[in-house]
Amino acid sequence: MLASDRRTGTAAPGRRRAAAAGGLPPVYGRRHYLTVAVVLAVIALAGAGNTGNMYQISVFNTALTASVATVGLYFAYQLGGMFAFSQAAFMGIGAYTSAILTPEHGFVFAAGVALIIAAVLAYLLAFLLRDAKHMYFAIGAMAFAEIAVLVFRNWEVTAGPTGGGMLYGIAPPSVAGYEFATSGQIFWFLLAVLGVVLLLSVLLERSPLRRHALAVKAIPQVSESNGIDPRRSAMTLFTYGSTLGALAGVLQAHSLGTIAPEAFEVGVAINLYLMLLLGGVGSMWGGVAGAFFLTWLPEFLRPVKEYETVVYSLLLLATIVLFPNGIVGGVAWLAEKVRHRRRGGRSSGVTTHA
Amino acid sequence: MTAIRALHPLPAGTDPAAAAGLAGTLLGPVAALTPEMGLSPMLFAFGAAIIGGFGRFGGVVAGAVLLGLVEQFGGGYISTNWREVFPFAAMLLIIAFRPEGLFGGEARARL
Repeated sequence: MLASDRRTGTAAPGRRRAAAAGGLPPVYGRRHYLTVAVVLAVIALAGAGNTGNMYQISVFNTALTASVATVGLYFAYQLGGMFAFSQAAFMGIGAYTSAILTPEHGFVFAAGVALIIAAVLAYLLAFLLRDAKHMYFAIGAMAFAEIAVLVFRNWEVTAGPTGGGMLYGIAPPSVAGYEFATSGQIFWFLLAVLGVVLLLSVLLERSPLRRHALAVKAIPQVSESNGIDPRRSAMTLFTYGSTLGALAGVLQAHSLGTIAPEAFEVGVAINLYLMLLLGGVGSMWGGVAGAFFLTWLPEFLRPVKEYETVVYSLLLLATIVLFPNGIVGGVAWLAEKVRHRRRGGRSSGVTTHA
Repeated sequence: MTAIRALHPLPAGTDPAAAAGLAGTLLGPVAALTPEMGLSPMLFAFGAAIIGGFGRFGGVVAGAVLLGLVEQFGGGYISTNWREVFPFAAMLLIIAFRPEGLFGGEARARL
């Protein structure tokens, strides 16, 4: 939370303060694009050596899918200020729509329709709950999520009550005649999709919408008197975030080949929240970092066997205590420290334990 | 100046926790017991509190009863398959049209 507050402080007052400090505010910099390239390159390097190993690469694929969903959550929750406990439900809406439409219409069309349906539903939900604040919105979103899961389980179209809502044998993604058949090929496909998502999100991060959203969060009355509609920015961001959730659902359905209602329950959305909070809620990179951290953690804990859950929980607690601003926030803090050191600032150098 | 003891013999968290424990004891005989069973009843409880309006004790009870009735009557008269959907739909609609709950208002002390 602290990191985001600091950001608000530099971003909202805009040019004047930046000019006084002798630099332009972050929105005018090009660093975002560089960060996208670095993030993609790191994931590509880490994954490239494992594309032959079915199991390892499937963990990568899970993390990539979760990244898309948590980046969406960042926009809906952190910028939009909406408790999006419906994120997993929107994943389900994307997954089921795309899985059902793909056999007849092909992957690209089905995925497109899935995203449009999810976007419309998200906007309707945000519109319906436009007057509900904080807790009330959270409960409304949870109720929506529960209804969605019950629909997946009971509706004939989604393999109704008899099939328990399980769909099998979903085709792997194929674009323009090329089918990403193996897990290794799907990895590159997912990475490309994440790249597109990050670039789109960077555009949104640099747009007036982000500045409006931050202004509404920091100084609601003042921003309203300056002609910013607080509901509109929140509803737009919620719709964008939920659509990214649906995209994650589409990716999950077609990379796993099977879906079940249990994968889209409220508990899964809470897990996505955990990823975002652990990674660092202050920026969208936190979503990616948290998704990878939380997906890989159980894999690293295999050696401790039956104590896995206990160690897992302890590590989560430790991370929360040690990095209150998330992993990205912690790294940024360390980088700041190092920079101070190098500049030879006596005041900052002394404060560290020397 | 009125003196209100900040440190009550029973700290504020104890009472709701005890009530939740009692609710769990009552739920035991009618539902399957698993460590993960908590989320759905919790959402129901929140829904009841929201519908009643957080401010009033009576409202919360009325909200809980209302949710139960909506589920049973919906299941009985409309569709058994969709029985569980009705209380959530009611929650969603009530939050949409009465964001502060049916019986309104924040908790306030009458002075």
